[in-house]
Amino acid sequence: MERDQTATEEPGSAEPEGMDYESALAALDLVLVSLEDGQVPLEQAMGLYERGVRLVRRCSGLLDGAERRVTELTAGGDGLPRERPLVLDSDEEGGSADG
Amino acid sequence: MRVLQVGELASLIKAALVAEPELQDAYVEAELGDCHLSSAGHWYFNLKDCRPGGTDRSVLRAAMFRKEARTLQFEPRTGMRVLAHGSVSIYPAAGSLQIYLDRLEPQGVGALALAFQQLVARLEQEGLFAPERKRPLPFLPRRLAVVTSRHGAALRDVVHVVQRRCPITEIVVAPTLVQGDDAVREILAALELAGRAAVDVVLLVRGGGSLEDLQAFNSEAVARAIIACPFPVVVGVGHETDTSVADFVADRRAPTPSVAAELAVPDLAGLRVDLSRRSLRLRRGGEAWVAGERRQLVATEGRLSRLAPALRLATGRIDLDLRQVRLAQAVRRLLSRERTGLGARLGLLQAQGPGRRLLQAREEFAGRVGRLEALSPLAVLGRGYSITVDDADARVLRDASEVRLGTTLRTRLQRGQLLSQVSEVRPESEGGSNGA
Repeated sequence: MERDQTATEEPGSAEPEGMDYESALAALDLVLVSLEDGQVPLEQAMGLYERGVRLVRRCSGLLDGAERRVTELTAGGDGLPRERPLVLDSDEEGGSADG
Repeated sequence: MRVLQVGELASLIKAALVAEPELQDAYVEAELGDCHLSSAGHWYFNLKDCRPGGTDRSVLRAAMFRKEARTLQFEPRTGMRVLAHGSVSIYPAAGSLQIYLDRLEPQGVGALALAFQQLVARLEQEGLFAPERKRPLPFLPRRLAVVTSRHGAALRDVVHVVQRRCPITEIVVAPTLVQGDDAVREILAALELAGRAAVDVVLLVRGGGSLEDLQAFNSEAVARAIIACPFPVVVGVGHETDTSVADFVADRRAPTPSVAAELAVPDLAGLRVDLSRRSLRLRRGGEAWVAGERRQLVATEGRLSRLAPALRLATGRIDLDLRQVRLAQAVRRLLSRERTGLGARLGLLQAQGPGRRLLQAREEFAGRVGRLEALSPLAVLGRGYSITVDDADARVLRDASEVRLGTTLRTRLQRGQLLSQVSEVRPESEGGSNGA
Protein backbone atom coordinates (compact mmCIF):
# COMPACT_ATOMS: atom_id res chain seq x y z
CA MET A 1 0.00 0.00 0.00
CA GLU A 2 1.08 3.52 -0.71
CA ARG A 3 1.58 5.37 2.52
CA ASP A 4 0.67 8.92 2.75
CA GLN A 5 2.90 11.88 2.25
CA THR A 6 0.19 13.29 0.06
CA ALA A 7 -2.74 12.30 2.21
CA THR A 8 -3.58 15.63 3.78
CA GLU A 9 -6.84 15.67 1.85
CA GLU A 10 -7.81 12.19 2.92
CA PRO A 11 -10.01 11.58 5.90
CA GLY A 12 -7.26 9.35 7.26
CA SER A 13 -4.88 12.06 8.36
CA ALA A 14 -6.55 15.47 8.57
CA GLU A 15 -7.26 17.16 11.88
CA PRO A 16 -10.79 16.18 13.01
CA GLU A 17 -11.52 19.67 14.31
CA GLY A 18 -11.64 21.18 10.82
CA MET A 19 -13.70 18.44 9.16
CA ASP A 20 -17.28 18.51 8.01
CA TYR A 21 -19.62 15.84 9.27
CA GLU A 22 -19.27 13.51 6.33
CA SER A 23 -15.47 13.55 6.25
CA ALA A 24 -15.26 13.09 10.00
CA LEU A 25 -17.61 10.12 9.77
CA ALA A 26 -15.60 8.58 6.94
CA ALA A 27 -12.40 9.08 8.94
CA LEU A 28 -14.05 7.49 11.95
CA ASP A 29 -14.94 4.45 9.86
CA LEU A 30 -11.30 4.11 8.79
CA VAL A 31 -10.23 4.17 12.44
CA LEU A 32 -12.85 1.57 13.33
CA VAL A 33 -11.76 -0.80 10.58
CA SER A 34 -8.09 -0.53 11.56
CA LEU A 35 -8.81 -0.96 15.23
CA GLU A 36 -11.19 -3.86 14.77
CA ASP A 37 -8.70 -5.56 12.50
CA GLY A 38 -6.49 -5.87 15.58
CA GLN A 39 -3.25 -6.00 13.61
CA VAL A 40 -1.89 -2.61 14.61
CA PRO A 41 0.93 -2.27 17.14
CA LEU A 42 0.28 -0.76 20.56
CA GLU A 43 1.46 2.76 19.93
CA GLN A 44 -0.51 3.01 16.71
CA ALA A 45 -3.60 1.52 18.34
CA MET A 46 -3.45 4.14 21.06
CA GLY A 47 -3.11 6.87 18.44
CA LEU A 48 -6.02 5.46 16.43
CA TYR A 49 -8.25 5.22 19.45
CA GLU A 50 -7.46 8.76 20.48
CA ARG A 51 -8.16 9.95 16.95
CA GLY A 52 -11.43 8.03 16.93
CA VAL A 53 -12.52 9.73 20.13
CA ARG A 54 -11.71 13.14 18.65
CA LEU A 55 -13.69 12.29 15.51
CA VAL A 56 -16.73 11.21 17.51
CA ARG A 57 -16.45 14.44 19.47
CA ARG A 58 -16.23 16.46 16.26
CA CYS A 59 -19.30 14.74 14.80
CA SER A 60 -21.43 15.11 17.88
CA GLY A 61 -20.27 18.71 18.18
CA LEU A 62 -21.60 19.33 14.69
CA LEU A 63 -24.92 17.72 15.60
CA ASP A 64 -25.23 19.64 18.84
CA GLY A 65 -25.56 23.15 17.48
CA ALA A 66 -28.21 25.43 18.89
CA GLU A 67 -31.65 25.50 17.33
CA ARG A 68 -31.57 27.99 14.50
CA ARG A 69 -33.97 30.77 13.68
CA VAL A 70 -35.76 31.51 10.44
CA THR A 71 -34.82 34.73 8.69
CA GLU A 72 -36.10 36.54 5.66
CA LEU A 73 -33.82 37.70 2.89
CA THR A 74 -34.42 41.07 1.33
CA ALA A 75 -32.32 42.95 -1.17
CA GLY A 76 -30.52 45.94 0.26
CA GLY A 77 -29.86 49.09 -1.69
CA ASP A 78 -26.51 47.65 -2.79
CA GLY A 79 -28.23 44.52 -4.11
CA LEU A 80 -26.69 42.48 -1.31
CA PRO A 81 -28.97 40.37 0.85
CA ARG A 82 -30.17 41.67 4.21
CA GLU A 83 -31.61 39.33 6.80
CA ARG A 84 -34.34 39.89 9.32
CA PRO A 85 -36.26 37.51 11.54
CA LEU A 86 -39.28 35.96 9.89
CA VAL A 87 -42.52 35.16 11.62
CA LEU A 88 -44.38 32.52 9.73
CA ASP A 89 -48.03 32.91 8.84
CA SER A 90 -50.26 31.26 11.36
CA ASP A 91 -50.72 27.57 10.80
CA GLU A 92 -54.39 27.76 11.57
CA GLU A 93 -55.36 27.98 7.95
CA GLY A 94 -54.09 24.44 7.92
CA GLY A 95 -53.48 22.54 4.76
CA SER A 96 -50.24 21.53 3.24
CA ALA A 97 -48.59 22.35 -0.03
CA ASP A 98 -48.22 18.64 -0.51
CA GLY A 99 -51.99 17.99 -0.54
CA MET B 1 -64.93 51.64 -68.89
CA ARG B 2 -62.23 53.19 -66.94
CA VAL B 3 -58.65 51.94 -67.14
CA LEU B 4 -57.04 51.67 -63.73
CA GLN B 5 -53.49 51.98 -62.67
CA VAL B 6 -52.05 49.02 -60.67
CA GLY B 7 -51.91 51.08 -57.52
CA GLU B 8 -55.50 52.09 -57.88
CA LEU B 9 -56.53 48.47 -58.35
CA ALA B 10 -54.57 47.42 -55.28
CA SER B 11 -56.22 50.15 -53.25
CA LEU B 12 -59.64 49.03 -54.43
CA ILE B 13 -58.88 45.43 -53.46
CA LYS B 14 -57.61 46.55 -50.05
CA ALA B 15 -60.73 48.63 -49.48
CA ALA B 16 -62.93 45.71 -50.44
CA LEU B 17 -61.03 43.42 -48.04
CA VAL B 18 -61.22 45.90 -45.18
CA ALA B 19 -64.94 46.27 -45.76
CA GLU B 20 -65.54 42.58 -45.32
CA PRO B 21 -65.86 41.86 -41.54
CA GLU B 22 -65.24 38.12 -41.90
CA LEU B 23 -61.88 38.88 -43.52
CA GLN B 24 -60.85 41.31 -40.79
CA ASP B 25 -61.63 38.93 -37.94
CA ALA B 26 -60.79 35.63 -39.53
CA TYR B 27 -60.10 32.35 -37.77
CA VAL B 28 -58.39 29.87 -39.97
CA GLU B 29 -57.32 26.32 -39.37
CA ALA B 30 -54.18 25.45 -41.26
CA GLU B 31 -50.91 23.58 -41.48
CA LEU B 32 -47.79 25.74 -41.26
CA GLY B 33 -45.28 25.73 -44.07
CA ASP B 34 -42.15 27.68 -44.97
CA CYS B 35 -41.77 29.12 -41.47
CA HIS B 36 -39.26 31.92 -41.41
CA LEU B 37 -38.21 34.32 -38.68
CA SER B 38 -36.75 37.57 -40.00
CA SER B 39 -33.89 39.29 -38.26
CA ALA B 40 -36.33 42.03 -37.28
CA GLY B 41 -38.34 39.48 -35.31
CA HIS B 42 -41.27 39.03 -37.74
CA TRP B 43 -42.55 35.57 -38.56
CA TYR B 44 -43.57 34.60 -42.10
CA PHE B 45 -45.38 31.38 -42.96
CA ASN B 46 -47.52 29.68 -45.53
CA LEU B 47 -50.91 28.59 -44.28
CA LYS B 48 -51.82 25.43 -46.09
CA ASP B 49 -55.22 23.84 -46.35
CA CYS B 50 -55.24 20.84 -44.08
CA ARG B 51 -58.47 19.13 -45.06
CA PRO B 52 -57.69 15.51 -45.84
CA GLY B 53 -57.75 14.22 -49.36
CA GLY B 54 -57.88 17.59 -51.11
CA THR B 55 -55.71 17.58 -54.20
CA ASP B 56 -56.08 21.27 -54.80
CA ARG B 57 -54.63 22.42 -51.48
CA SER B 58 -54.93 26.16 -51.12
CA VAL B 59 -52.00 28.16 -49.78
CA LEU B 60 -52.12 31.62 -48.23
CA ARG B 61 -49.20 33.83 -47.17
CA ALA B 62 -49.24 34.82 -43.51
CA ALA B 63 -47.20 37.23 -41.48
CA MET B 64 -46.94 37.80 -37.74
CA PHE B 65 -45.10 40.95 -36.78
CA ARG B 66 -42.71 41.18 -33.90
CA LYS B 67 -45.19 42.85 -31.59
CA GLU B 68 -47.60 39.93 -31.82
CA ALA B 69 -44.90 37.30 -32.21
CA ARG B 70 -43.61 38.15 -28.73
CA THR B 71 -46.69 36.57 -27.19
CA LEU B 72 -46.03 33.28 -28.94
CA GLN B 73 -45.65 30.48 -26.39
CA PHE B 74 -44.11 28.12 -28.91
CA GLU B 75 -41.89 28.17 -31.92
CA PRO B 76 -43.82 27.78 -35.20
CA ARG B 77 -42.58 24.86 -37.25
CA THR B 78 -43.39 23.52 -40.67
CA GLY B 79 -46.00 20.80 -40.55
CA MET B 80 -47.54 22.06 -37.34
CA ARG B 81 -51.36 22.33 -37.30
CA VAL B 82 -52.51 25.66 -36.01
CA LEU B 83 -55.50 27.82 -35.38
CA ALA B 84 -54.65 31.31 -36.61
CA HIS B 85 -56.45 34.58 -36.16
CA GLY B 86 -55.90 37.77 -38.08
CA SER B 87 -56.99 40.13 -40.81
CA VAL B 88 -56.61 39.68 -44.55
CA SER B 89 -55.03 42.42 -46.57
CA ILE B 90 -52.92 43.01 -49.60
CA TYR B 91 -49.24 43.88 -49.58
CA PRO B 92 -49.15 46.28 -52.56
CA ALA B 93 -45.35 46.24 -53.00
CA ALA B 94 -45.37 42.50 -53.64
CA GLY B 95 -48.85 42.31 -54.98
CA SER B 96 -49.55 39.52 -52.58
CA LEU B 97 -52.57 38.78 -50.51
CA GLN B 98 -51.65 38.06 -46.89
CA ILE B 99 -53.24 37.33 -43.60
CA TYR B 100 -51.70 39.36 -40.82
CA LEU B 101 -51.85 37.21 -37.69
CA ASP B 102 -52.28 38.43 -34.15
CA ARG B 103 -52.76 35.02 -32.56
CA LEU B 104 -51.43 31.64 -33.37
CA GLU B 105 -52.09 28.50 -31.35
CA PRO B 106 -51.10 24.99 -32.03
CA GLN B 107 -53.93 22.58 -32.61
CA GLY B 108 -54.15 19.20 -30.96
CA VAL B 109 -51.63 20.01 -28.26
CA GLY B 110 -51.91 23.18 -26.17
CA ALA B 111 -49.55 26.01 -26.75
CA LEU B 112 -48.10 25.73 -23.26
CA ALA B 113 -47.52 22.05 -23.57
CA LEU B 114 -45.84 22.52 -26.89
CA ALA B 115 -43.68 25.32 -25.60
CA PHE B 116 -42.72 23.06 -22.73
CA GLN B 117 -41.80 20.20 -25.00
CA GLN B 118 -39.74 22.44 -27.17
CA LEU B 119 -37.88 24.05 -24.30
CA VAL B 120 -37.18 20.68 -22.73
CA ALA B 121 -35.85 19.38 -26.02
CA ARG B 122 -33.59 22.39 -26.48
CA LEU B 123 -32.17 22.39 -22.96
CA GLU B 124 -31.65 18.68 -23.11
CA GLN B 125 -29.69 19.10 -26.30
CA GLU B 126 -27.50 21.64 -24.51
CA GLY B 127 -26.72 18.95 -21.99
CA LEU B 128 -28.29 20.85 -19.12
CA PHE B 129 -30.13 17.79 -17.81
CA ALA B 130 -27.04 15.60 -17.80
CA PRO B 131 -26.62 13.67 -14.56
CA GLU B 132 -22.92 14.57 -14.37
CA ARG B 133 -23.89 18.26 -14.24
CA LYS B 134 -25.85 17.72 -11.05
CA ARG B 135 -24.12 19.00 -7.93
CA PRO B 136 -24.18 16.88 -4.79
CA LEU B 137 -26.14 18.25 -1.85
CA PRO B 138 -24.25 19.03 1.34
CA PHE B 139 -24.67 16.29 3.91
CA LEU B 140 -25.34 18.58 6.83
CA PRO B 141 -26.18 22.11 5.61
CA ARG B 142 -25.62 24.88 8.13
CA ARG B 143 -27.82 27.32 6.19
CA LEU B 144 -30.59 26.64 3.75
CA ALA B 145 -32.35 29.18 1.54
CA VAL B 146 -35.99 28.71 0.58
CA VAL B 147 -37.19 30.47 -2.54
CA THR B 148 -40.96 30.42 -2.42
CA SER B 149 -44.08 32.40 -1.67
CA ARG B 150 -43.94 34.27 1.59
CA HIS B 151 -47.47 33.11 2.37
CA GLY B 152 -47.88 29.66 0.92
CA ALA B 153 -48.24 26.35 2.69
CA ALA B 154 -45.04 25.33 0.93
CA LEU B 155 -42.91 27.56 3.18
CA ARG B 156 -44.61 26.26 6.31
CA ASP B 157 -44.05 22.70 5.19
CA VAL B 158 -40.36 23.28 4.54
CA VAL B 159 -39.82 25.06 7.86
CA HIS B 160 -41.63 22.31 9.74
CA VAL B 161 -39.66 19.54 8.11
CA VAL B 162 -36.31 21.26 8.57
CA GLN B 163 -36.96 22.16 12.18
CA ARG B 164 -38.19 18.69 12.97
CA ARG B 165 -35.39 16.82 11.24
CA CYS B 166 -32.48 19.15 11.65
CA PRO B 167 -33.10 22.12 13.94
CA ILE B 168 -29.45 23.21 13.75
CA THR B 169 -29.89 24.20 10.12
CA GLU B 170 -30.70 27.87 9.73
CA ILE B 171 -33.43 28.75 7.25
CA VAL B 172 -33.33 31.93 5.24
CA VAL B 173 -36.36 32.71 3.13
CA ALA B 174 -36.18 34.56 -0.16
CA PRO B 175 -39.81 35.46 -0.79
CA THR B 176 -41.18 35.56 -4.32
CA LEU B 177 -44.37 35.29 -6.26
CA VAL B 178 -44.67 31.80 -7.69
CA GLN B 179 -47.37 32.42 -10.25
CA GLY B 180 -48.67 35.20 -12.41
CA ASP B 181 -47.01 37.53 -14.84
CA ASP B 182 -44.33 38.75 -12.43
CA ALA B 183 -43.46 35.33 -11.11
CA VAL B 184 -40.51 34.72 -13.43
CA ARG B 185 -38.95 38.08 -12.72
CA GLU B 186 -39.40 37.65 -8.98
CA ILE B 187 -38.12 34.10 -8.92
CA LEU B 188 -35.00 35.24 -10.77
CA ALA B 189 -34.44 38.02 -8.24
CA ALA B 190 -35.00 35.69 -5.29
CA LEU B 191 -32.62 33.06 -6.69
CA GLU B 192 -30.04 35.77 -7.23
CA LEU B 193 -30.47 36.94 -3.66
CA ALA B 194 -30.20 33.41 -2.29
CA GLY B 195 -27.08 32.94 -4.39
CA ARG B 196 -25.47 35.89 -2.67
CA ALA B 197 -26.50 34.89 0.85
CA ALA B 198 -23.88 32.44 2.09
CA VAL B 199 -25.98 29.29 2.23
CA ASP B 200 -25.21 25.63 1.58
CA VAL B 201 -28.27 24.67 -0.40
CA VAL B 202 -31.27 26.36 -2.06
CA LEU B 203 -34.83 25.05 -2.15
CA LEU B 204 -37.10 26.33 -4.91
CA VAL B 205 -40.59 25.19 -3.99
CA ARG B 206 -44.26 25.80 -4.46
CA GLY B 207 -47.42 23.89 -3.90
CA GLY B 208 -49.32 22.07 -6.59
CA GLY B 209 -51.14 23.70 -9.48
CA SER B 210 -52.20 23.31 -13.03
CA LEU B 211 -49.76 23.54 -15.90
CA GLU B 212 -50.77 27.19 -16.33
CA ASP B 213 -50.08 27.90 -12.65
CA LEU B 214 -46.63 26.44 -12.92
CA GLN B 215 -45.60 28.41 -15.97
CA ALA B 216 -42.83 30.23 -14.15
CA PHE B 217 -41.19 26.88 -13.38
CA ASN B 218 -41.23 26.06 -17.05
CA SER B 219 -39.53 29.24 -18.12
CA GLU B 220 -36.15 29.10 -19.69
CA ALA B 221 -34.93 32.05 -17.64
CA VAL B 222 -35.71 30.28 -14.37
CA ALA B 223 -34.11 27.09 -15.66
CA ARG B 224 -30.90 28.95 -16.47
CA ALA B 225 -30.98 30.79 -13.13
CA ILE B 226 -31.14 27.44 -11.33
CA ILE B 227 -28.11 26.27 -13.26
CA ALA B 228 -26.27 29.54 -12.56
CA CYS B 229 -26.97 29.40 -8.83
CA PRO B 230 -23.66 28.96 -6.98
CA PHE B 231 -25.25 26.49 -4.55
CA PRO B 232 -27.00 23.22 -5.30
CA VAL B 233 -30.72 23.68 -5.89
CA VAL B 234 -33.49 21.31 -4.88
CA VAL B 235 -36.72 21.91 -6.76
CA GLY B 236 -39.91 20.80 -5.12
CA VAL B 237 -42.96 21.79 -7.12
CA GLY B 238 -46.09 19.95 -6.31
CA HIS B 239 -47.82 18.97 -9.51
CA GLU B 240 -50.37 16.49 -10.49
CA THR B 241 -49.13 15.51 -13.87
CA ASP B 242 -45.96 16.49 -15.62
CA THR B 243 -42.53 17.49 -14.53
CA SER B 244 -41.46 21.10 -14.88
CA VAL B 245 -38.36 22.32 -16.67
CA ALA B 246 -37.08 23.49 -13.29
CA ASP B 247 -37.28 19.88 -12.14
CA PHE B 248 -35.11 18.76 -15.02
CA VAL B 249 -32.33 21.23 -14.38
CA ALA B 250 -32.46 20.96 -10.57
CA ASP B 251 -29.60 19.28 -8.78
CA ARG B 252 -32.24 17.25 -6.97
CA ARG B 253 -35.95 17.13 -7.66
CA ALA B 254 -38.71 16.34 -5.25
CA PRO B 255 -42.43 15.79 -5.81
CA THR B 256 -43.41 18.21 -3.01
CA PRO B 257 -41.86 20.96 -0.88
CA SER B 258 -41.80 18.65 2.16
CA VAL B 259 -39.86 16.01 0.30
CA ALA B 260 -37.48 18.68 -0.99
CA ALA B 261 -36.80 19.65 2.62
CA GLU B 262 -36.27 16.02 3.57
CA LEU B 263 -33.73 15.64 0.80
CA ALA B 264 -31.93 18.80 1.86
CA VAL B 265 -31.41 18.09 5.54
CA PRO B 266 -30.55 14.85 7.32
CA ASP B 267 -32.53 13.48 10.21
CA LEU B 268 -30.46 14.56 13.20
CA ALA B 269 -31.92 11.94 15.52
CA GLY B 270 -30.91 9.25 13.05
CA LEU B 271 -27.42 10.70 12.81
CA ARG B 272 -27.10 10.72 16.58
CA VAL B 273 -28.08 7.07 16.80
CA ASP B 274 -25.65 6.29 14.01
CA LEU B 275 -22.86 8.19 15.73
CA SER B 276 -23.41 6.57 19.08
CA ARG B 277 -23.27 3.17 17.36
CA ARG B 278 -19.90 4.10 15.93
CA SER B 279 -18.79 5.47 19.27
CA LEU B 280 -19.69 2.14 20.84
CA ARG B 281 -17.82 0.33 18.09
CA LEU B 282 -14.81 2.50 18.76
CA ARG B 283 -14.84 1.63 22.43
CA ARG B 284 -15.34 -2.03 21.62
CA GLY B 285 -12.62 -1.80 19.03
CA GLY B 286 -10.27 -0.46 21.69
CA GLU B 287 -11.41 -3.08 24.14
CA ALA B 288 -11.12 -5.81 21.55
CA TRP B 289 -7.59 -4.72 20.90
CA VAL B 290 -6.71 -4.77 24.59
CA ALA B 291 -8.46 -8.10 25.02
CA GLY B 292 -6.47 -9.53 22.13
CA GLU B 293 -3.23 -8.30 23.63
CA ARG B 294 -4.23 -9.71 27.01
CA ARG B 295 -5.00 -13.12 25.47
CA GLN B 296 -1.56 -13.13 23.93
CA LEU B 297 0.00 -12.12 27.20
CA VAL B 298 -1.84 -14.88 29.04
CA ALA B 299 -0.74 -17.38 26.42
CA THR B 300 2.86 -16.27 26.78
CA GLU B 301 2.63 -16.49 30.53
CA GLY B 302 1.23 -19.98 30.17
CA ARG B 303 4.16 -21.08 28.05
CA LEU B 304 6.54 -19.54 30.53
CA SER B 305 5.04 -21.34 33.50
CA ARG B 306 5.09 -24.65 31.61
CA LEU B 307 8.78 -24.16 31.06
CA ALA B 308 9.46 -23.30 34.71
CA PRO B 309 7.44 -25.10 37.42
CA ALA B 310 5.47 -23.01 39.86
CA LEU B 311 7.75 -23.94 42.72
CA ARG B 312 10.77 -22.70 40.89
CA LEU B 313 8.96 -19.54 40.19
CA ALA B 314 8.22 -19.22 43.92
CA THR B 315 11.82 -20.03 44.83
CA GLY B 316 12.94 -17.63 42.27
CA ARG B 317 10.77 -15.02 43.87
CA ILE B 318 12.24 -15.75 47.32
CA ASP B 319 15.70 -15.63 45.81
CA LEU B 320 14.83 -12.39 44.34
CA ASP B 321 13.56 -11.09 47.67
CA LEU B 322 16.74 -12.26 49.40
CA ARG B 323 18.80 -10.62 46.76
CA GLN B 324 16.92 -7.51 47.31
CA VAL B 325 17.64 -7.66 51.03
CA ARG B 326 21.30 -8.40 50.31
CA LEU B 327 21.45 -5.60 47.94
CA ALA B 328 20.05 -3.24 50.53
CA GLN B 329 22.50 -4.50 53.09
CA ALA B 330 25.36 -4.18 50.71
CA VAL B 331 24.41 -0.69 50.02
CA ARG B 332 24.17 0.11 53.70
CA ARG B 333 27.58 -1.49 54.33
CA LEU B 334 29.10 0.35 51.54
CA LEU B 335 27.74 3.56 52.89
CA SER B 336 28.93 2.97 56.45
CA ARG B 337 32.36 1.89 55.22
CA GLU B 338 32.63 4.97 53.28
CA ARG B 339 31.64 6.88 56.33
CA THR B 340 34.28 5.10 58.46
CA GLY B 341 36.93 5.59 55.89
CA LEU B 342 36.03 9.18 55.86
CA GLY B 343 36.45 9.40 59.67
CA ALA B 344 39.86 7.72 59.48
CA ARG B 345 40.92 10.05 56.83
CA LEU B 346 39.78 12.92 58.96
CA GLY B 347 41.99 11.58 61.83
CA LEU B 348 44.91 11.20 59.45
CA LEU B 349 44.33 14.63 58.23
CA GLN B 350 44.36 15.94 61.78
CA ALA B 351 47.52 13.91 62.50
CA GLN B 352 49.18 15.62 59.62
CA GLY B 353 48.29 18.95 61.15
CA PRO B 354 51.16 21.36 62.09
CA GLY B 355 50.58 21.39 65.93
CA ARG B 356 50.74 17.63 66.17
CA ARG B 357 53.91 17.49 64.17
CA LEU B 358 55.63 20.05 66.38
CA LEU B 359 54.85 18.02 69.48
CA GLN B 360 56.15 14.91 67.81
CA ALA B 361 59.36 16.68 66.81
CA ARG B 362 59.82 17.80 70.35
CA GLU B 363 59.37 14.27 71.68
CA GLU B 364 61.80 12.93 69.15
CA PHE B 365 64.32 15.55 70.12
CA ALA B 366 64.07 14.65 73.83
CA GLY B 367 64.56 10.98 72.94
CA ARG B 368 67.63 11.71 70.92
CA VAL B 369 69.10 13.86 73.74
CA GLY B 370 68.57 10.98 76.18
CA ARG B 371 70.22 8.50 73.85
CA LEU B 372 73.12 10.90 73.38
CA GLU B 373 73.52 11.26 77.08
CA ALA B 374 73.48 7.51 77.58
CA LEU B 375 76.36 7.15 75.15
CA SER B 376 78.49 9.87 76.78
CA PRO B 377 81.50 8.50 78.81
CA LEU B 378 80.83 11.13 81.36
CA ALA B 379 77.50 9.47 82.05
CA VAL B 380 79.35 6.16 82.68
CA LEU B 381 81.61 7.96 85.10
CA GLY B 382 78.47 9.21 86.80
CA ARG B 383 77.45 5.66 87.53
CA GLY B 384 80.83 5.11 89.44
CA TYR B 385 83.09 3.98 86.63
CA SER B 386 86.43 5.71 86.01
CA ILE B 387 88.97 5.89 83.20
CA THR B 388 92.64 5.35 83.72
CA VAL B 389 95.29 6.50 81.27
CA ASP B 390 99.08 6.43 81.23
CA ASP B 391 99.88 9.91 82.22
CA ALA B 392 102.96 9.92 79.99
CA ASP B 393 101.22 9.19 76.74
CA ALA B 394 97.46 9.46 77.73
CA ARG B 395 96.93 5.86 76.53
CA VAL B 396 93.76 4.35 78.00
CA LEU B 397 94.76 1.39 80.07
CA ARG B 398 92.75 -1.81 79.45
CA ASP B 399 95.34 -4.56 80.41
CA ALA B 400 97.34 -4.51 83.69
CA SER B 401 100.23 -6.35 82.08
CA GLU B 402 100.84 -3.38 79.87
CA VAL B 403 101.79 -1.20 82.84
CA ARG B 404 105.14 -1.18 84.51
CA LEU B 405 105.88 -0.47 88.09
CA GLY B 406 106.46 3.12 88.90
CA THR B 407 104.37 4.45 85.96
CA THR B 408 102.35 7.53 86.74
CA LEU B 409 98.69 6.94 86.09
CA ARG B 410 96.01 9.52 85.69
CA THR B 411 92.51 8.44 86.69
CA ARG B 412 89.49 10.43 85.62
CA LEU B 413 86.48 10.35 87.86
CA GLN B 414 83.07 11.94 87.29
CA ARG B 415 84.47 15.01 88.91
CA GLY B 416 88.20 15.63 88.97
CA GLN B 417 91.35 13.48 88.32
CA LEU B 418 93.69 11.47 90.41
CA LEU B 419 97.46 11.04 89.73
CA SER B 420 98.97 7.86 91.22
CA GLN B 421 102.02 5.55 90.81
CA VAL B 422 101.83 1.89 90.13
CA SER B 423 103.18 0.00 93.17
CA GLU B 424 102.22 -3.49 92.04
CA VAL B 425 101.11 -5.15 88.79
CA ARG B 426 98.74 -8.11 89.00
CA PRO B 427 98.13 -9.72 85.52
CA GLU B 428 94.94 -11.49 84.56
CA SER B 429 95.52 -14.75 86.33
CA GLU B 430 95.37 -13.23 89.80
CA GLY B 431 92.61 -10.72 89.84
CA GLY B 432 89.13 -10.64 88.18
CA SER B 433 88.31 -8.89 85.03
CA ASN B 434 87.71 -5.67 86.82
CA GLY B 435 90.24 -3.08 85.72
CA ALA B 436 91.33 -1.00 88.57
